Amino acid sequence: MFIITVSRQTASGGDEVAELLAEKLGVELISREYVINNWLPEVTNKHQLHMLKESPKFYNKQSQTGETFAEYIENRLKEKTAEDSFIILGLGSQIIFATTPAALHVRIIASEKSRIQKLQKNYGLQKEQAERSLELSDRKHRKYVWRIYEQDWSEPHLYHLCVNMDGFAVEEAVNQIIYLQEQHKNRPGSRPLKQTGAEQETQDEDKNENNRVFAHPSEKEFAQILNMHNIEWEFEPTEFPLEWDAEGNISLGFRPDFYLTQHDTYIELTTLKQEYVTEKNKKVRLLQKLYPEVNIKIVYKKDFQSIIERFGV
Amino acid sequence: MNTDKIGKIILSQKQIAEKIKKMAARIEDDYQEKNPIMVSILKSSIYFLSDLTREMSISLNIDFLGIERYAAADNRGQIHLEKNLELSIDGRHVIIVDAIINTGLTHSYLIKNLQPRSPASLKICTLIENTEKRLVNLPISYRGFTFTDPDIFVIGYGLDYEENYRHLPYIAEFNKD
Repeated sequence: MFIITVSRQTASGGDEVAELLAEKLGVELISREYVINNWLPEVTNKHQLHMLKESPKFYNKQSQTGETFAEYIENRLKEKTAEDSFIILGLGSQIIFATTPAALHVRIIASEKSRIQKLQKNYGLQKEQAERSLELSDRKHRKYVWRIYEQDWSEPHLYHLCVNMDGFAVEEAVNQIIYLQEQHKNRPGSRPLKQTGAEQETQDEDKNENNRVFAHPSEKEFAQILNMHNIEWEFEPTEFPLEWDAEGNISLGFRPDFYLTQHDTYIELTTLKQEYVTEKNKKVRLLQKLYPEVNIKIVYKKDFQSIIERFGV
Repeated sequence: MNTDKIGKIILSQKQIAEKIKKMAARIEDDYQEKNPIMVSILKSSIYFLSDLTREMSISLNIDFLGIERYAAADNRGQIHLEKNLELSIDGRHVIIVDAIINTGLTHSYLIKNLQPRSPASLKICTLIENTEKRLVNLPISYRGFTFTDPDIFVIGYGLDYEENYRHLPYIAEFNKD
């Protein structure tokens, strides 16, 4: 039995490392998402689950089992890992299993520059937006571990290995971790790793470069009106992270429909049902609060009809 | 003309006249010895242009631009200048004059069209700007009134509904329903 805990900075590549580790070693990956989907619904109501998704502080509240939610997760993790081997991503697992002989604790980091570049690439953010997103996300990651375990997650002594991903491919990092784990396989309580021999699959996302496929006819019409006025645009180029879960992972994003490049302005069309409009308004307000430098305009159904009346042919 | 459709008067003749005097004074201050070309967008700005320029005593020229929107053979919307400028704006100071700016799409198009003609400067003067309807940033240097109601539709003083009501001496809300 072995455990590898993976702690990671936002956009450092830690998620990818944990996923590939689990795949190569043929073991299950337990992440915060896994816990929320599989364990927490057993001891929470809808409100509590929502709060646990949003607030690190809420993990110190008492659950219906009499334990705090943090203690509940900790006990479930211990039960599960007593039976089999696992990769655990986040969840303060480097502290929960700090004294477990069969546990290897890994921290994945990367330079701020490369993390910002990754956020820019993955979400289409401008540099300043990515910097802001990183700041907010790191703060939440740090807060989760501090609130529950009163430990600074960046302390080096919490980890056996710290991997700086700058100039390092995901597979290289994974191979190093597996090698280190192999060296420790004779520890009491540990057993040889199960190698699956799985071929490395490309980590490149299967991107659909056809950005001009519109989901709704109104988007197509609007694009035609912009073309008509020689206004340069991009379709859904940027996803702004808006909310982070209690652990600092991005849980809510917003991708405005159009970006008018020369006017540095995003446009969101809301020509659908009112319930969606309310949701979109909420997202736009959040976006304006988090990224005050971003220009965004909402085109409501009535505005859109008026534009079509005036400019449509 | 269906007068039932004429709603509440938003800007009276007096309010418009007073505002135009102030705008004219500002433009005069900024364009002393510059002999600007005041470019009027047909047809909505005709009254505004004529009242504005008659309040000014500096040397200036007047020209007109007309815009037409039509469907091309592939049914895509097209826009072009139906009436082009008669004067060259190369090296000249140009002020685009319009009665109202809503989305700003048309004015953005005009700026793109005029900028390559190498004017010494290119600014926009509008009697009304509806900030809630604006989609694009524009260099608006002179604005008379600012509307913040995204649903308001106004007529009069050059502004029309299906080519009617332009000649009203005031600006009123239009009752579409």
